[in-house]
Amino acid sequence: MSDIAIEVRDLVKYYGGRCVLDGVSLQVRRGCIYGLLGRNGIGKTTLIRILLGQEPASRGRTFVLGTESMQLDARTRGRIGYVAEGHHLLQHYRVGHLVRLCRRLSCQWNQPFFDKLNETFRLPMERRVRELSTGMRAQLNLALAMAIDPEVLILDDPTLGLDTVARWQFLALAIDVIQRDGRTILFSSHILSDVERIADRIGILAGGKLVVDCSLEELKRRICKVQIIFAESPPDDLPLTGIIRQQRSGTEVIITVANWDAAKRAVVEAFRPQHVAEIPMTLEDLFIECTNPVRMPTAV
Amino acid sequence: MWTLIKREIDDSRAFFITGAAYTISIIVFVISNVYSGGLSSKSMSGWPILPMLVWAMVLFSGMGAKQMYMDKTRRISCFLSTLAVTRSAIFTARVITGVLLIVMTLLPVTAAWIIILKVVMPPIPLYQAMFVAGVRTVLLLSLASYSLGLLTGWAPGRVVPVLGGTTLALILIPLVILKGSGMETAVILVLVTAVSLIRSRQHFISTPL
Repeated sequence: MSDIAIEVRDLVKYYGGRCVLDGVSLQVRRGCIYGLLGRNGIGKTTLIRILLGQEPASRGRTFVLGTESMQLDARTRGRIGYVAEGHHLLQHYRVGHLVRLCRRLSCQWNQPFFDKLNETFRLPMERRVRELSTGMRAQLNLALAMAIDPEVLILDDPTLGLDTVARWQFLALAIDVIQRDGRTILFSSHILSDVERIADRIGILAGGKLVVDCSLEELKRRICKVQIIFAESPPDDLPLTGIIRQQRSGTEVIITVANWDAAKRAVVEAFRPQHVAEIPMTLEDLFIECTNPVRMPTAV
Repeated sequence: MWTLIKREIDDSRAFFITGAAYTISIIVFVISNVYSGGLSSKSMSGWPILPMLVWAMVLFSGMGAKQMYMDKTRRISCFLSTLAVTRSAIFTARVITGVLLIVMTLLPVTAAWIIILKVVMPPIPLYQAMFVAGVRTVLLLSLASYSLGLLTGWAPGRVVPVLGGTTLALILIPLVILKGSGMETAVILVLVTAVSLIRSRQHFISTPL
């Protein structure tokens, strides 16, 4: 059995002549929680839909559990749990009816786990899906996706529409799922604190490319924001490679730089600044730096 | 597969009820005619066969169109394909359900016809052959109408899915009237059915959900 649960090879996707995904490649190992980030309309959902075989790729190949996405058979599909953005459930069904349908159409159904989720979410079995609030629909979708005991769980903005308590419950459940041997989660979210809390690897899509694909610790180590204060006016150009962003204000220069190390620090020190300090960055800061349209192109 | 078929039947309950009502009304009509005016080939020639046929075509093409159109608007396959189900299985279950509707609607009518004809017509092989050809044509016409419904139901917009299948199905009726219920008509109907089904399946499986 391969160690790779999800693989994307040089994926290209055009929509009406516009290149949404431009040569994206990534691998998600078994047991990994992969957080896929990117601004609205950048192609996260498209990437996920291509992975699930719901959308053909313009070029490139994608694999889930070793099977090419467009050739996913029923058995392999049964090992993948999916929560879609917007929660496309059968709106005209009653919740209980939908649950029974999913149970019958699943390869394996973990009833005790579903009962536990139901206890947490308190799903109204007699109501129609369309009568549920967005939050309740999200919870139902999550419960259905998790109850099939998936080897791979793909979540497209799963906490969208959930209140804070439900979000925390979801994250706890996601951790619970991952703790079962070999489970893999790929999830996209706009709530970076959620990603920061549970993801152990981060991918950031920007301009159709995967500009970041590493662990959160590595990302924090590799990208650094440095505040440099000069006695007089700063030099016009700092001869550093990997500058993502540069802000100037009087004698102060703040640079966001990839692969910050002693050698780069020595280059800065050569200009005899008064003060050089590294500014701690949160995932939100890192995300803004990596997805800012005016940033200089640097792969991390 | 059974779960998918059951789901399709559940979603198309209205069509099955309409089909049953159609069947019952025809049988009631025939029985009432038998009791009121007796039964002869002459009295049978005045029966409204064409409206009966048109109603059946509208019902079957409507069923096909509704299955595909509702799938598209309610994103049914989009959800089902995230379970342990392939799009091919969804389509197969859909077609089986359609065929089931056709059989359930036409079988009692055919049985009623057989009984009546046994009573009315003399046991001449020519009449029997005509009856078999008639039943075959109606069955193939129904399948063709249903397939055309499936084909147009997946088309973009609202007008073509709602009216396209029925319009195309109704075009087939003059063909049957003009060419009769011979083998040529059967071949044409089989081809229409096959092409519509193949194209519908290919379209359904390859379209982004």
